Amino acid sequence: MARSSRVAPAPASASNGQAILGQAINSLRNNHDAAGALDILTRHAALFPHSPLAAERSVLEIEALLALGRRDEALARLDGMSLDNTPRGAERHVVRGELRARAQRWRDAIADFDQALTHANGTKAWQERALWGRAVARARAGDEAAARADLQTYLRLYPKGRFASEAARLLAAAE
Amino acid sequence: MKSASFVVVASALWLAAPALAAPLVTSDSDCPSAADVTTRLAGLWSGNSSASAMAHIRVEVGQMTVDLVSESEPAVSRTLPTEADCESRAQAAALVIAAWLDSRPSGPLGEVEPAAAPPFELATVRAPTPIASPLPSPPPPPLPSRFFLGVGGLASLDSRGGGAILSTEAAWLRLVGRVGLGVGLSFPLPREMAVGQGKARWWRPVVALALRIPLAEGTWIVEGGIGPALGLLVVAGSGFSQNHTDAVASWGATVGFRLARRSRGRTTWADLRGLLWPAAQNIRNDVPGSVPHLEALPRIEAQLGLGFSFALL
Repeated sequence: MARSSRVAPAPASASNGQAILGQAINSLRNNHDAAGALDILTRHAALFPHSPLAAERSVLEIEALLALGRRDEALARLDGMSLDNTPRGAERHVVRGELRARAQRWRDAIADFDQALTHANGTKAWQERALWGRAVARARAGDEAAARADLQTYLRLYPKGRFASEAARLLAAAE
Repeated sequence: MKSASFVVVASALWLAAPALAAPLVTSDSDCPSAADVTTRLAGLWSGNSSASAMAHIRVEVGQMTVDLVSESEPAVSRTLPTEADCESRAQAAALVIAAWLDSRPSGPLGEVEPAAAPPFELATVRAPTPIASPLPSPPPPPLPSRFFLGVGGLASLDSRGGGAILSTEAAWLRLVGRVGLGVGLSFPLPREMAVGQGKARWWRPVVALALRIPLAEGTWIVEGGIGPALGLLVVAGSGFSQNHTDAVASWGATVGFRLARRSRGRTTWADLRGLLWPAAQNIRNDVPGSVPHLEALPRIEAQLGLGFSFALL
C-alpha cells in the first residue's frame, strides 16, 4: 500500500482540522492505506485534542487499527467508548463483542451481544453474528443451557446460516 | 448523542435511498444546504458501505445537529457547535456522516470477523480456551474438518439377484467449505451363477471416492454423495472341462444418499447407494466346435444398509 497521504504542518484552525480528517477518510477508505490514515489521525489528535469531531476521529482510528490487524489496541479504544446511541451501534457492539470474546472476556462479550440483540437493531447479517457470538461466549462462560438455547434459536432463524452446520454439530454433541 | 425525532420522515424516504450509494441528505437550512453537504460528502464517500443510510441536518442557535439513520437502526443525532461559515458547516456535516455511516464492507469498524467457530463441545468443555482469531470477512470462517472412520453392512440388489456387502470407509467432512470427501471399500460376498456346462463364482470388491455434500443439517443429517468407483472383478470357474480364474479392473460410478445422526463423536447412518458399471462384462464358456456361452454381469446395483462411524479428529 502506498503511504503517500502525509499532512503538511498547518495552523490549528477548524477548517484545517476538517481537511485533515477528510484526508484520513480518503486514505483509509479510498486509498486503503490504513497505516497512513492512522498517522494522519494521530497528527489530528495532537493538533486538535479537543476537536468537536473527536468522536469521529476515534471511530476512524478504530477502523484503521482493525484494518491493520491491531485488534488489542482497537479493543482498548472500543472499551473506552460508549456505544449506546451511536450510529450503527449494533454493529459496533457485535465487533466489540467479538474482540472481547477473542480476549476471553466472555461476560463482557455477552453484554455486547445482548445489546446488539435486545433491541433487534442492525441488519440480519449482524444479528446472525451477534446470536452466534453470544452462543459461543455463553458456552465458554459455562452457561451451557443458555448457549444451547442460542444455538437452537440460531438454527431456527438461520437454518442455512454461515454457522448452521457448526451449531448443529455442537447441539448434537451436547445431547 | 440523543435519539432523533425524524424517524417517521426518514422512514418515508427510506426507499428512495439506494443501498451502496452516498446517503440521502436533507437539511432544514441553507447554511449548510443539503446540496453543499452532498457535494462534500461525494468526495469522502467510499461507496463500500453495504447498508443504506440517510442524514438530516438541523441548525439551531449555536449548534448544528446531524441526524443519522442507518439500515435497521433508529435515528441517532450528533450535535456540533456551529461554525461561522456555511462551507465549514457543510464540511463538518459531511465528515460526521462519512465517519459514522460509511465503512468497509467487511464491517463497520474494519475487517473483523464474527466470533469464529468455537473449538468446544458444549457438554464437555468448561475451562476457557482461546477462541480462534477473527478472520477476514466476508468469506465464511473455516470450519474444522472432521475425520471419521466407519463400517457398515449392506444388502445389494441387481439383475442377478441379491447379495451382502461389508463396507468400510474413511471420510473428511467439510474439507472444502461444506463439501467433504469419502473413500469407501466394499467387499461383497462371492456369488455364483450357471454358465453353460459349469458354474462361475465371482465377486467384485469396490473402492469408491465420493464428494459428500450435506443437504440438510440438524438433529438428522442428510448427505448426498457422488464419485468414481473402481471395481476388481474376480471370476473362478468350476465344473468345466478346463477351469480358469481371471481378474479384471473396471471403472464405474457411485451415487448415494445418507441419513445420519451424530452424537458425541459417533454417527449412525443409513445408506442408499447406486453403482453403475458403464462397460459390459461377461463370463464366457468356450465349448470346442460350438458357439461360446456368455453370461452378462450386472451393470447396475442398488445397495441399502446401516452402519456407524467414529470421529478420530
